[in-house]
Amino acid sequence: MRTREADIAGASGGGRAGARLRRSHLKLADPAFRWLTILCAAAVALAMIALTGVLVGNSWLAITKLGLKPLHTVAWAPSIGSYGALSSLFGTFVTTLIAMVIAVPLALAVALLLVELVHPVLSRVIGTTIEMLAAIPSIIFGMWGIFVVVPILQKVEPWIQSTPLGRLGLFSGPPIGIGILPAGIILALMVLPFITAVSRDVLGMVPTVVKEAGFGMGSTTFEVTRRISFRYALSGIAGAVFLGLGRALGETMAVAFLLGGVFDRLPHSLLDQGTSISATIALQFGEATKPLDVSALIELGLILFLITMVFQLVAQVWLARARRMTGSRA
Amino acid sequence: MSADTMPGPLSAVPLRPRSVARRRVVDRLVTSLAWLAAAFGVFIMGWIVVTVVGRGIGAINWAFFTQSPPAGADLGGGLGPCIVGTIVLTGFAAVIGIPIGFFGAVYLSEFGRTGRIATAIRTITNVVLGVPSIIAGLFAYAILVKPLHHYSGFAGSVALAFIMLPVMTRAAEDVLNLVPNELRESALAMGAPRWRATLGVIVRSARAGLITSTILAVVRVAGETAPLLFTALSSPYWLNGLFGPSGFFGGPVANLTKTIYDYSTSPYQHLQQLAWGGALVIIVAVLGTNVLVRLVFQRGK
Amino acid sequence: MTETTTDRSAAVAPRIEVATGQRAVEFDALPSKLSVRGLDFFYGKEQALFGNTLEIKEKRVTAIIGPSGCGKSTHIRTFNRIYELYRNQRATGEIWFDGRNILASGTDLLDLRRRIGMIFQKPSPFPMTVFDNIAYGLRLHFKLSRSELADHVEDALKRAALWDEVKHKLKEPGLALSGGQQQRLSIARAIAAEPEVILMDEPCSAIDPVATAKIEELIAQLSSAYTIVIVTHNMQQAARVSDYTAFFFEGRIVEAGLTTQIFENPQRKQTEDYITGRFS
Repeated sequence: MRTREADIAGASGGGRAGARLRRSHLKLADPAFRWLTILCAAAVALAMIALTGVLVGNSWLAITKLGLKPLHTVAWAPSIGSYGALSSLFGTFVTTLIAMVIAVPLALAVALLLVELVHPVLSRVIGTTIEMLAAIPSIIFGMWGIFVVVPILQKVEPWIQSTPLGRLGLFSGPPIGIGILPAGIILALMVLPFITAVSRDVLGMVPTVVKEAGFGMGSTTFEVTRRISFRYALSGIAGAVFLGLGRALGETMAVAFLLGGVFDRLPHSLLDQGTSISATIALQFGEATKPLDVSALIELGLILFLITMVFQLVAQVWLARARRMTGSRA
Repeated sequence: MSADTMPGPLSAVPLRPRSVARRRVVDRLVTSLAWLAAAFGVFIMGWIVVTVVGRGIGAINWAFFTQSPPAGADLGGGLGPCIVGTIVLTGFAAVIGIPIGFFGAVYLSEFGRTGRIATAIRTITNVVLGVPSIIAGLFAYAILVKPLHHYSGFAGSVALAFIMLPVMTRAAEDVLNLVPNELRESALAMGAPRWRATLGVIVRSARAGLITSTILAVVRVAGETAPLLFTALSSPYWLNGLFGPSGFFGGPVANLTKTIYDYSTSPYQHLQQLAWGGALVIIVAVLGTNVLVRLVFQRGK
Repeated sequence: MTETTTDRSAAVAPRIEVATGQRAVEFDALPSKLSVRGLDFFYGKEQALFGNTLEIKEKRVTAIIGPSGCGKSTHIRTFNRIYELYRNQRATGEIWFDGRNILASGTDLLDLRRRIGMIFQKPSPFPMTVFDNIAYGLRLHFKLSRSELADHVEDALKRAALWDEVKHKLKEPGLALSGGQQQRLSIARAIAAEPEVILMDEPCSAIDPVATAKIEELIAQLSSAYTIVIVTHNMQQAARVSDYTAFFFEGRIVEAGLTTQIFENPQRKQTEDYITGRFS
C-alpha cells in the first residue's frame, strides 16, 4: 500500500511545479466561490436593511415636522396642510378584512377538494388553474374589476339595498359600484391562489396513517378534515392566512383602480369610496409638490412596510412551526 | 378492573347514537361547497382571460406593435415603444436580479443548508418576498430618482430587480435541494473542488429546474406596475440611447403596464382599446410562459 | 389486572391439553363474527388476493401470518373497507358480518367502521389531547353529556389498561406519550366507540419489546369481550396471543386453523417451511 502511494507520488514528481501551481489556484478558487455565494445570499439582507434605512431617512422630514399627527388625523389633504393617515389605514384594513373573509373559506374549501376529494390528475389541473390567478398582473385585476365587476355591482347593490340587509347601514349610500366592496372582492381573488396553494401543501403533509385512523373510526371525509387534518395543519394554515393577509395589505394597483380615491374622510359604508395606504401613495405621488408632501407619502410607505413586515414574520413563524411538526424541509 | 366487567360499556348510561344520516348530509354539503368553490376559482380565471382576450383582440394589428402611442386625443397609433420598454426594463432587472439570486441560492443549498446564517437569510428572503411592490418603487425613487432629479428606466429596473431577487433565490434553492446528496458527494469524492462540483455537476443536473425558475422569476415582474410609478414613469417615445432624455439612464422609459394604467382610466374610447390590447399582450406573455414552462418542465420530469 | 390474566390463562390452559382434532370440532361449532367468501382484491390491474375464504370466530383472537407482501394487511383492510380511500383499490367477493355482506353497496361505512375498529402499524394519535383522542369516536357517534363523556373516556382507558398511566395527563397532547402508550391510546380510542371487532395491523412492529408485552397482555384481556384479528410477521407473537391462525402466501390462504395445530402440526409443506423458518 505504502509503496503504491510512493509510486504515485514519484510518478507525479515530474510535473511538480505544475501541480503546485494548480493547487494554489484551487486554494483561492474555492474560498472565492464560497464568498461570492455568501455575498449574493447576503444581498437580500443588505437590500432589506438599505430599504429600511432609506424609508426612515426619506420620511424623517415628515416624522420630525408632523410627529404623531398623521396617526390621529383622518384627511389626506396636503394643500391645506393635513397629512392624515387614518383614511388610508382604515381603507387598507377594511379591504383586507373583506378579502380575508371571502378568500379564507374559499381557499380552505378548494384545498379540501384538491387533497381529499378529487382524482390526483383533476386535482392538479384545478390546482394549477387557480394558481395561475397569482400570475395575472394586478393591473389586469384592476381593469377587470373596473370594467366587469363594477357594472355588475351597480346592478346588484340596489337589489341588496332593497333586502333586509340593506337596512344594516353597511350597504347605505349611492350604489355606484366603485368603492370598498369591489376592492375587497378583487383582493380576495388575488390572495385566493396563495392561501389555496399553501393550505393544499400543508394538508397534503398530514400523515396517511393519522387520516386512515380517522376514517377507521367511522368519520366522514369532512369530519377527518375538520377535526384531524385541519388541526394537524393548523400552524401551516395560519401561516397561509398571514401570507395572504400580507399580500392583501400591500396590494396597490387593483385597489387604486377600485377604491375611488376619496382621501379626506372615512367611508360610511361598504358602498362608499375611500383609499388605502398604497392607493394614496400611488395616486397622490404625482401631485406631491413640496418636499414635505413627498416625505409624508414615504412615511406612509414606511408604515405600510412595517405592517406587512409584521404579518410576513408572523406567517414565517407559523410556517416554520408547521414544518417542524411535519419534519419537512420545504 | 376485573374480567367480568369487560364486555359492554361500564357506564350505566346507555349510548344514544347520533344520526348517521345527518353527519352524511353535512359531509355531502361540504363536498358540494368545495366543488362550488373550486369551480368558482376556475371560472374567475377563465372569465378574466376571456374578458382580456375579447376586449383586447380588436386592438391587435401591425400598427399596435410598430407605432408610438397617439398624441393627445388622436386616433390610431400603437404601443410599440411600450413593448420595447417593458422588455428592456425587465431584461435589465434580470441582469441584476438573476445572478445574485442564483448564487444566493447556491449558498443556501450548498454551503449554508440548515446553519443559523442560512436560516436567517432564508427567513429574510421570505419576508422580502412579501414586501409590497410599491415599496420597492419608493426605494428606487429615493435612491436613484430623488438625488438625480430625474426619472429613469434604470431606477425602474432596480425596483423590479428588488422584487425579482427573492423570487429567484427561493425558487432556485428549491430546485437545487432536489439534487440528490449522492450526486453531490460523488462529485466531491472525485476530488473536484467545491466550485467545480457545484457548477459542473450539481447545477448542470438541476439545469431544467433552474431555467424554469429563472423564466418564472423574470416573467413574475414583467407585469408589475406599482414599482414603475415613480421610477421609470412612462413616456410615449421610443427608447433612445443611454443617457439622453429618452435614454435608459436619462429619463422616463415607455412601458406597457404604466401606459395601460393611464389609458384604461382615460375617458377616450380608443385609448381604452389600446389599454386592453396591452393587457392582452401582457397576459399572453405572462400566462403563456407560465403554462409553457410548466408543460415542458413536467414532461422533463 | 392479575386476576384477569389468571382467569384468562385458566380458560386457555385446558384447550392446549385437548387433542387437536377434538378442539377443531369444538372450534368449528363456535359462531363466526366475520365470514369471508371468495375474496379477491386488486391494486389497479394487479390482483393481490385470490378467492380467499376465512372464518373469524366471535370473541377469539385470529392471527394472520405470512411473509411480507403476502396480502395479510390487504386482507384485514377489507373488513372495514378502509382500502376505499384509494381509488385504484377494489375488492370483490363476500364478507358476511352480522347477516350482511359488507362488500355490498349500500353498506353504511360510518357505522361499519365504528363496529369494526382498527389499530395501525404506526401509533396514530390524533393531534389533540389524550382525553380528546379517546372522546373522538364517542363524540362522533354518540350523543353524550359532558359527564357521560368523561365516564366513557375513563372506562375505555381502563379497559385498555392505560388509565393509571395517563389519568394525570388527560390534558396533554396524545403525541407527548411514549410510543407504546400511543399505541395503547389508539386501542383505547377504538374501544371507546364500542366496536365488536378490533383489527390490528402489525400493532407491535414500531414499538419496543416491553411495550409489546403490555399490548399482548391487553389483547388477551380484550378477547373476552371483542373479536380480534391481528396481522403479525412475528410468529412467536401469533403463537402467544391467538386462538386461531391463518397462513397467507402470495395472496392465498394456504392453511387456516387452530393456532396450536398450525404451529405444531401443519398440514401443508409451505406452512411448515415458514413456521420452521426455512424461508421468510
